[in-house]
Amino acid sequence: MLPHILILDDEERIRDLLAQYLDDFDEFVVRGAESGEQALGMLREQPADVAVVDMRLPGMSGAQFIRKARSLGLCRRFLVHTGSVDMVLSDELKELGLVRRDLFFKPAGADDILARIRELLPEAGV
Amino acid sequence: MRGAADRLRRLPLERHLAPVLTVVFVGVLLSTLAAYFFTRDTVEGMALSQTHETLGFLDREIASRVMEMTIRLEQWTKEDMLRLALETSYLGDSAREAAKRRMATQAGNGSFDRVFLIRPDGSIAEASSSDMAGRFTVGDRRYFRQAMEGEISLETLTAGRHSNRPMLVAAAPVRNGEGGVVGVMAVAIDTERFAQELLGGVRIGRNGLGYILSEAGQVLAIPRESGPGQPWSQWRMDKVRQSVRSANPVAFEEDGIWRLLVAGTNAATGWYLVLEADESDILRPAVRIAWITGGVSLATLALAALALAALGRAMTGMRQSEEKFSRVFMFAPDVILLADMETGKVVDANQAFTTRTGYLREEILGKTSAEIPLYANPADREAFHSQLLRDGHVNQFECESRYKDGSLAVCSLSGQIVTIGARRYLMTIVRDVTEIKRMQEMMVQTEKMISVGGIAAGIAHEINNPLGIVLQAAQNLTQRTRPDFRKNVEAAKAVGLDMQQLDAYMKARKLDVFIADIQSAASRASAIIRHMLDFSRRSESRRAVSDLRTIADNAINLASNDYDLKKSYDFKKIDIKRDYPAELTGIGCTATEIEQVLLNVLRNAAQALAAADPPVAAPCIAVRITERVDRVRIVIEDNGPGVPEHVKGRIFEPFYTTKQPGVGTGLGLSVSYFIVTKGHGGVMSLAQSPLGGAAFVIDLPMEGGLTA
Repeated sequence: MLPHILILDDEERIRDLLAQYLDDFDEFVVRGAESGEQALGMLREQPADVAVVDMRLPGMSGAQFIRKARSLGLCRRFLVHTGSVDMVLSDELKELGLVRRDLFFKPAGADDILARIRELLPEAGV
Repeated sequence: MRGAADRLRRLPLERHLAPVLTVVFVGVLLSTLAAYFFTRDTVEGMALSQTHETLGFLDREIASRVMEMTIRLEQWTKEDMLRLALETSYLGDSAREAAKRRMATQAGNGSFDRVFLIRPDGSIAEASSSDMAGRFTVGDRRYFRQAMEGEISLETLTAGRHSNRPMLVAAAPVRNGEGGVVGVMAVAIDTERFAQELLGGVRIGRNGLGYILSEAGQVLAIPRESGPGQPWSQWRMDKVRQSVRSANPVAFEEDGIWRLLVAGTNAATGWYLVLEADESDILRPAVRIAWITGGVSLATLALAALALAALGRAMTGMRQSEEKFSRVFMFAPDVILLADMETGKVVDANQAFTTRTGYLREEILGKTSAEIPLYANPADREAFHSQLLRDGHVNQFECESRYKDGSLAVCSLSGQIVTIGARRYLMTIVRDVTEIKRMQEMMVQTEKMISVGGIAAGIAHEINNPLGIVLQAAQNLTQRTRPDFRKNVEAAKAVGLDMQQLDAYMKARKLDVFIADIQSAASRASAIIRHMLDFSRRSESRRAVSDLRTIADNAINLASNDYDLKKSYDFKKIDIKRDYPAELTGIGCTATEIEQVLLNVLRNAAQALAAADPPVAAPCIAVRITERVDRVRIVIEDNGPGVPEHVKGRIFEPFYTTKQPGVGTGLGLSVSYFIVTKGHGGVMSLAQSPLGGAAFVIDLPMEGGLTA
């Protein structure tokens, strides 16, 4: 069974480009969501192993989504993919178990994100 | 100005000051001594000649009195009454009566003490005093015998027969009608009374006295204590005779006091006339006047000495001051030129002239500034000079200079007309403001970046998203044109395309390169935005007292793990030397920002080492931290090739980079400079490292960092 990857980004082209890129490898089942609320709904149907999350979202923020999804046990590992200018890993994200290498600032290489996902999957218990 | 100083130094006054002072001093001293002795001798001579004059006066006075006495006596002897009085007859008796009255009158009016008539046998026939007649005889007296022989005679008697006092007796013969001597008429004067009258007017000093001695050495007259009639001690008499013989004063000691004696003889009486006084008394005025003269000279000498000492001090002060200003001139960091106003020729130039312009002093001395192409635009020289002649001075006239190596510099000229001695000189101070200008321009650029950074902060998020799309779209393009990717091959097959052919086409038409261009351009744009944001970052809230050693360690750690860095060189190959103090005061700063600054500098050093041609054998970066009084200094230096001269001035300039496009944004050091100076109130500068390469020096203030 292939690991599940969820891409949460309100901008469709970013979501799609990353999804298309990852999908090519036939290593994952990739889904996309445009809001935290939608993503939570999708995860309730089928949990994911890794979620790539944009921070600035309509409705609930990326951080709120991570907290929620984590507390519900719907996803184990999260990567932040943000266009934010705040270069520092916030305390909130640190609490949620994120490290500096989980942080990707747009424009980030899809290959870099892929590499980190591959690193995380064994940890995610796949 | 050194030339002017030399001219000053050539004044003989200074070098010969000490001998001149000595000569003047000795001269004044000699003249003082000469004045002292000359004055003393002169005044002494005057005192002595005055004494001699007194003596002469005494002598003349005695002589005239004696003369008067003898003349009157001679006249009397011609009266018949006296001749009759000597006869023993009736007529004689009555004549004696008349003579006696007449003689008493003569004695009574004070001219003579005694007047008496002597018979040829020596007995007194008649006298002014009645108790004299018939009481004694004077037949043995010389004056009587001489008079009896027909001469007018004079004799000084030690003691008169009647008065028993020293007497001066004058005697004259009394003749009868036939000319025969029939008796003697004599007058006597008490020598003491006689001399007293004369000596009374004689005053010599305070304890001087005049006295008269007989030829035999008997005191005839003396005004005070020692009474007359006493024989004068033999030794004193010797002194008197010695003085008479030599006609000079004779000095002798008596009771421990030196006295001076001047003596002369009176020809008529044979008397010794003596004036005697304490030597000090006679010479006191001389000594006093000499002392006054000497004193005045000494005072003059003292004044001269004071004046010369003051002059000496002034000279020394002048020399020291001259020395000081000469040094200021020579070692001033700005170029200073001194030119003659008349000829326009440079007479002096300082060391900065050589170090700045590259010209030697000798190359400009004696030439005008037009003869050396210092002015990049000769019109500037005209403008400077005309402004100087109009106003007498010029302040901060800005123009371009060309140095000997051909480089151009922006200079600020200040000129002033100064008068040294009688000549007018133009003093020009030239300040090289190239660096300052450059720094100012850089600061303007940095200010611009700050405002741009503010805008960037607002739009960064919006730009990063599309940049993300560009980058990942490009990556997808790359991935989906790969001929070895299974999915691509399958999709191609479905549409009847040969992936190998597509790949060949892509390469032939450089589509792969274009895609790579898109990717790197997106990365660059994003890096620029990130750095621009650094300029606008306001992170005071995150200020905390931090240990710079920890920050430096973190930066080194980050540098060795930097992914971007790894691409161009291996940080692990570089020997990192840490030179930290054991104790270090914490400073208030934003740790992440300082970390970024150090990372930027380390990255810069590492890139310089990697790009070095020829390669550096043992690349090394040293991080040194030292504590200063009010700041902590971090120096990051390397043994790379160093910063080329033309880059130095622009190294902190935003967007200035020497790296290949895409390797650096040209903002790293600029941002660092901004963070240190604007953000932390510190100083950041570039220096030459003792290791051979560049050294970045960062000073962070201990105080104020938290409030900046």
